[in-house]
Amino acid sequence: MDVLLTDSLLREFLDTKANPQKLAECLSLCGPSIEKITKEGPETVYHIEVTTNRVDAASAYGIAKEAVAILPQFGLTAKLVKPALSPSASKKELDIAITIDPKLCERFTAVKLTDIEVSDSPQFIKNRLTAMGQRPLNNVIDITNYAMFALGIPMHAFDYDKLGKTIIVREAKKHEKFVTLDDKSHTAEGGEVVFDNGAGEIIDLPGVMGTKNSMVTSATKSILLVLEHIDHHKVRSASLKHEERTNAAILNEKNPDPNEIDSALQFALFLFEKYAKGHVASKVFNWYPKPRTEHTIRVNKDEIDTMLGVSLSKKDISNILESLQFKTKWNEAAITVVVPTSRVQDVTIPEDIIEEIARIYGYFRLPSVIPEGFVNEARNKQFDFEMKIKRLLAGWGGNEVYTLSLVSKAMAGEKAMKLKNPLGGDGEYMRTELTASLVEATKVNKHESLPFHLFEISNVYIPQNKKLPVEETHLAGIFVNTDYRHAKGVIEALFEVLNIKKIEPKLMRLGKNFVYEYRVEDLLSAHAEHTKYRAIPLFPPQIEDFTLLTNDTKIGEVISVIKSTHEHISAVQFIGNFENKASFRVTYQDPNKTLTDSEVSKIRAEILKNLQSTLDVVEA
Amino acid sequence: MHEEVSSLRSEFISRALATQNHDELEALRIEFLGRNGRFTALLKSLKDIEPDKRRQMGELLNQTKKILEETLATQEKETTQKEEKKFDDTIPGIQPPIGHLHLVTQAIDEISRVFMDIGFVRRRYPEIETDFYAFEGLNMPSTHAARDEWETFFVEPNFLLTPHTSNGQVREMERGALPIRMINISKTYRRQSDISHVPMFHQFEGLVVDQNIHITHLKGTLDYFAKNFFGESRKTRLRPYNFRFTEPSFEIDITCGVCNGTGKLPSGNSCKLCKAGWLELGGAGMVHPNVLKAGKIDPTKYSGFAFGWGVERTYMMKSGIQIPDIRMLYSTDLRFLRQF
Repeated sequence: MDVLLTDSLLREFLDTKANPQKLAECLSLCGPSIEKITKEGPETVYHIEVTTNRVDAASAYGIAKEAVAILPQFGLTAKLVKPALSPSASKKELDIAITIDPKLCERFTAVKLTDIEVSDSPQFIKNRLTAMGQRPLNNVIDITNYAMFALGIPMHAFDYDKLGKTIIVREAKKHEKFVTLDDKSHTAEGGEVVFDNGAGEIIDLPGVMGTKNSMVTSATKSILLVLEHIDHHKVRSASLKHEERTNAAILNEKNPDPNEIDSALQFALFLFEKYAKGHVASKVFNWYPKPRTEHTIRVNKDEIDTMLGVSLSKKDISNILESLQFKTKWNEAAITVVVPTSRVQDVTIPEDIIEEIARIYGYFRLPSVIPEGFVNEARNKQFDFEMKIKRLLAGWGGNEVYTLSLVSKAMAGEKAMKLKNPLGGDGEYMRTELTASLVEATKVNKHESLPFHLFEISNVYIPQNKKLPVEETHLAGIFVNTDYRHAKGVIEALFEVLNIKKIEPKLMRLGKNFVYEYRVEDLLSAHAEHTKYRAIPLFPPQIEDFTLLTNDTKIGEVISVIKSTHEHISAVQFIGNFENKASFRVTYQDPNKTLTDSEVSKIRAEILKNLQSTLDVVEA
Repeated sequence: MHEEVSSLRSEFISRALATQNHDELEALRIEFLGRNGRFTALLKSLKDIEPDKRRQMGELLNQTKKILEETLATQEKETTQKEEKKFDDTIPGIQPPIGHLHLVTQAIDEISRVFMDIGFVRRRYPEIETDFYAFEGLNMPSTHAARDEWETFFVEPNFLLTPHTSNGQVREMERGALPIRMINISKTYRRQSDISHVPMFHQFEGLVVDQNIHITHLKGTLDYFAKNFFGESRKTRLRPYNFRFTEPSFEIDITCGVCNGTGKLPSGNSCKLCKAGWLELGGAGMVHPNVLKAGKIDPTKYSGFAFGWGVERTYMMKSGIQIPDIRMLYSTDLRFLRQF
């Protein structure tokens, strides 16, 4: 969560000589990360990233608490300054009946203030709010926001005279309508926590944003100040559903400590009395059936040492924890730690305690050690195999691409898995083949007039009934502006280098382009890692060229007929074709002797006979 | 015979001087001094001369042969010099076709090699995953924000596209072989698209589980990686962070390569890629005891660390590669692909 905080507001609660840069550096290393410092008018602003588990630190006071633990580790003194609180209270009971569903709300506090003078806020409040991204409106609304930035507890001021004599905390029903402060009309999906004025009318979307029908205006004379703790899951979902990502919602959805409501309320009352001339006109209504309590965690010293890899003294450990307002007690080699309620959500197991010790001590102070030992098992060959394929194809001019696995229905192939929440129609399915993606990939390259080859190795996803899909790694590619023989030659060369004999190098024609797609697993199991040694022939071969009238006969068939004619035909090479003729070079070889001319001419006659009888091909 | 020798010599010399290249010179050598050469024939006929003249004739032929050979050698040298002068070594060569491995492949290759150097074993785990391996087993309760449909893609019937490579952690533990030192590199998916996010990207997940694994080991491993992958001039830092599946958790930052850690571009604008000169490399931490338990490993006996970083982000932070928008990596434009 990104938090903006002015240096001036922070220093209301933090007494230190450290300058903003030093403060940012120290805090970033040991606590909330300060990503940058900017100037906004007269204010210096910290941009702080507070992790979602540390909502207790998402305020000026929370950052001050971190700073008083962290700065002394860098030799800087720092003291926490408690917020000014107003203990004022009236003896009169609040004259609004409040009914709360305990499943929806953990704590509810409310107090009435009268004689409010709505006006502009003092300049320093306006400056600070503006710098923290909050537009100043009037002193009443500004005070609630200012107190929230100061102490991290959101609150809401209602125009008392717009309320009835009842507030019911309940879940919204589907289709109920309400208008929020920002003039947006909403229709409830059902289940959002709302305040009902007893007449069935929604008067607040608590924890997220107030509604228009109960809002403070320049005419307001009395207010009802409410600080409540709504179930944080409910807050998050209402805020997301209604697209109201307010500061209040962002804090409340992270479950701030309801015990902090007391000081937040008294700090707000102090501000209302000072800057809005308000008078407290009721007792504080305080409904809090199950107050949160501290808990204790026991940690052994050797657990701490093992996790850190270095040994800290007992005294250093308890000093660090106490600087964070944890109470500690050593008992032999174990420390008992009492976790304050503001941290009980986040600190629950010994590892959490160790983390607090380690971060405040400083990760940067720990040494670097490479773990010893190796895993004694055979490597998975597929990774190297894929890399080899890629290097070979790139070596022959191929360009590797990575295309998205999320594709449109048209590109996904048969029975592809469908996304429930795609970003758009062109990424709605998990592809079952790569070819379509590669065809798509050529489209941005229309300007290319020279031959090119794109290829990819990626998974495709083959659905299985009710089980996880099979993720198959495929190799696919496309040749553009390339003649068939050059395209096929690349795949033939690949198979030759990889020693793949059981699979045919095959390309499919797609318009003017040629594509191929293989399962890498098939290639891997068909390839032989090493070639067998074959003796170099002791006797010279005889080589002879044929020119044949092939007409429409497929060259591959001619080659295989020639080859299968005799065991002493060791190679048949296609030389080229012209009109209806094609030339071949045939190598005759007997491993045991030099073939005589008459032996060769016998084989030759057999070849011609075979070609004529099976393919009707004769010599030109 | 004397005249014959001297006329042969004259002819040889004048023709030798007229040759233009090695081939002509060689032809001349063969014509006169080859096995069946004209001068060789004279040498052969020596045996037919009367014995009293043979000696004198022999001397003449030897002298002449020496002259012919010297002429040949001189002319040879001159021809070589002439040819060398004429040879143009500035003419451009004819290149074989040059292909390109994709940046992501180059990154994965470099990254995995660094970790394999220090004993990590490469693994591959599913991209389409069950809730248990992607979330529940990683100590993420069903209410955790990452599980909202706003950040994770879900697939019919009840699966999801893994938003991180951490789904490999419990799967690796379930193999039941200890110690663990794995590096799982895979495609991951998140429901977002902007200058620093693509809906599909790659992560590499490191997981070490053994007896007595400390934070210092995590630091050592990541330091080793940073040093070898980025070079010694880039700085890294460890910050406290929060992840459900590690405790303690860290965020590892590195100084930005686009603005050189200043946060400002030469144009004076602030750098769009980083935060005040620092880039988040990714998260890391000590494996949470609940995750070890989910993988059926006793957390009182074993401990471990894990990290999961974006391949693309990590590679872009490397010196020299300054891509302003991470989505460009998935362009198939050859004008882009051929640059790397």
